[in-house]
Amino acid sequence: MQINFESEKPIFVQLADWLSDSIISGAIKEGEQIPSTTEMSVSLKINPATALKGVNMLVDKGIIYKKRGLGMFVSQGAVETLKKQRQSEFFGEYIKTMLDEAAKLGLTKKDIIELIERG
Amino acid sequence: MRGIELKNLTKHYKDTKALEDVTLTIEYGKIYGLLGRNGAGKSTMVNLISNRIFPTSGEIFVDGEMSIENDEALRKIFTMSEHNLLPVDRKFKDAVKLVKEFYPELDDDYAFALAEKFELDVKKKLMSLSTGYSSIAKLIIALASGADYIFFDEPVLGLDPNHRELFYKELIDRYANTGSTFIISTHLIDECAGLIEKAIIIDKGRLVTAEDTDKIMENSYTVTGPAELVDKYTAGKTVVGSDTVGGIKSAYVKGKAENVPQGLEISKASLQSLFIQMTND
Amino acid sequence: MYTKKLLRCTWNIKEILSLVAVFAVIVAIFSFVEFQDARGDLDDLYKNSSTVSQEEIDKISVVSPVGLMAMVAALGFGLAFTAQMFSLSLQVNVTRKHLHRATLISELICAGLITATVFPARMGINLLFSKLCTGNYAVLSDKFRDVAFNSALFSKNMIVSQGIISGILLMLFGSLLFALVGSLLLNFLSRFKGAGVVFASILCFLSAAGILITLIVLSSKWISFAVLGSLLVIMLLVQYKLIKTQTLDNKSAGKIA
Repeated sequence: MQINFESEKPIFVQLADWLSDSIISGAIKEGEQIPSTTEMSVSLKINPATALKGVNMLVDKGIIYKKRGLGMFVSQGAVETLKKQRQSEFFGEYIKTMLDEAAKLGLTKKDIIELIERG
Repeated sequence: MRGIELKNLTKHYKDTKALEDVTLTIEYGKIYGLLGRNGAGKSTMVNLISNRIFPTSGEIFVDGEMSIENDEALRKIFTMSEHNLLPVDRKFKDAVKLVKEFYPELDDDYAFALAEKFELDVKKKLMSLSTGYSSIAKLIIALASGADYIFFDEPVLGLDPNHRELFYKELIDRYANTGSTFIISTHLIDECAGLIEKAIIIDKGRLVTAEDTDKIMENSYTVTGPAELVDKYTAGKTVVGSDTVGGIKSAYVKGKAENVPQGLEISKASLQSLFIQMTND
Repeated sequence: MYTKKLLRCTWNIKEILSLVAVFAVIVAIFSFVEFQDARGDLDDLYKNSSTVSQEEIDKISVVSPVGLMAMVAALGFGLAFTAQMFSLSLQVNVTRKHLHRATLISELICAGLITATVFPARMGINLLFSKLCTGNYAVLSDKFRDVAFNSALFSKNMIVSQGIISGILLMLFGSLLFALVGSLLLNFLSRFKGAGVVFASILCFLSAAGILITLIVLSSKWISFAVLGSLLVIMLLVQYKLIKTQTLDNKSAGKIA
């Protein structure tokens, strides 16, 4: 993973997104341990406090839980939770942007549906 | 409270004001970026804190104790400077031992392990090291020093990209393991933007800001679009700086972007571009 | 504690031995050159008469800058050590107080080394040469005089033991003077500049040499001793004052905290 320092998204959000992606794709399975914040911050060249902030974001959502002295693990049902959350974000992040861009280019609703069906 | 406090710190040379009335706190256990243009006063500040020069006026406290000519307070500070100040006729391994005399907390096993990672020949005399390796030797000693406050003055000067990468990673690792305070004074802001938790920006001897990098970034944005539109939008807002290419203008604005009219694009500015705008003449 | 550490880190057996060796070589070379000069005169003297009076020996002037040369060269080394100590003290954040003390002690070591090496070495060489050349040690006393600064500083009819004692004393005082000038200048400069070590060393070196040359030019025993003595006292006082003020600074720092 690469952090984009010029992105709109703060670094800790990028890290949380990356972890979420890895969980959804199954790269890190439910019940498995995630890399330590030190490991992540070293490999991404980011401040450990930032990494912790990103991880805590997922802890707050119940996607990751801490085992004292052992590290952090992916909760059971995390994939489901993440998918639901992503679905609700889908409209704002993709559909709305797509519609805005389509309006700029003068594409009609019909055109868009055609394009979707072609894809 | 643990930390280094500067109170109205001022340093004047004959006819230059190297540092002017700087008041700030460096909190223990964080990674700082000390950013400033050439001659902004970065080295002066570092040299004052490490008692290498004396202030014209003002005070420096280390963990609450006045640090000027105070051996106990100075023991908590280690400074890696651009010039090598260790005896050049010593081998690296002897230089490590020498520094350990003064910094008993220095971890020599760690220093030698790092030397191996950087492929530094520990049996070579300091004077026969290349520019890059001479920097590496100083970096390793600083990282291993075990001091509570470790200052790096232009740490990656002369290092190749691989070694720079390795340095940043080792620094994070060391930070995670020791919890010491690291203060990196540098020009290469992009390289360490993710690393630094707090940024101290100084310009022409004066403090511009000392804040969380997150906050600096959150509280500023770039707005790009046709010049008149940008000007209309930014009227009444705090504009840090701007660039114009053709009729397209990019303005760096403080605050949060709100009610952005059609035709303008909002983006986040990198720490480096914000820095450039903040310290431009 | 840090004074001792600074000294231990700058002075080690290897450094001391190499210094002693350098001094000895300098003395040997210059003594030899000087001896070659005087040799012709001595040969003439002994050819013409079988008994030579002390007065006649005195006529052979062997005023050479050997002692001075050795001292200046040696103190160059001393200052180099001081400079190294100075820059080390910056790297390891040792206070000026300890730097002052360590510098002073370091210069004293250097002064002691010069006296301990140069004086006996030159005495030995003179002994050897005069024995080789004249068959006896008679010319010895004459040579002792210029061991220090210049024979002009001493009475021509000083006895051998007086010559040795005053030679040693002058050597020690002279070196100490160098030491003080050096450490004071270094410390003075260190208040302003972090990296001016080389510059400072050159300055110290030049000013110390200047003082010595002035003394030689003055050429009068009593004036020279008086100037040397008062300079020493002034320097010691300034040095003491510097150390004391900084110690006080330190104490007040502790109080405020």
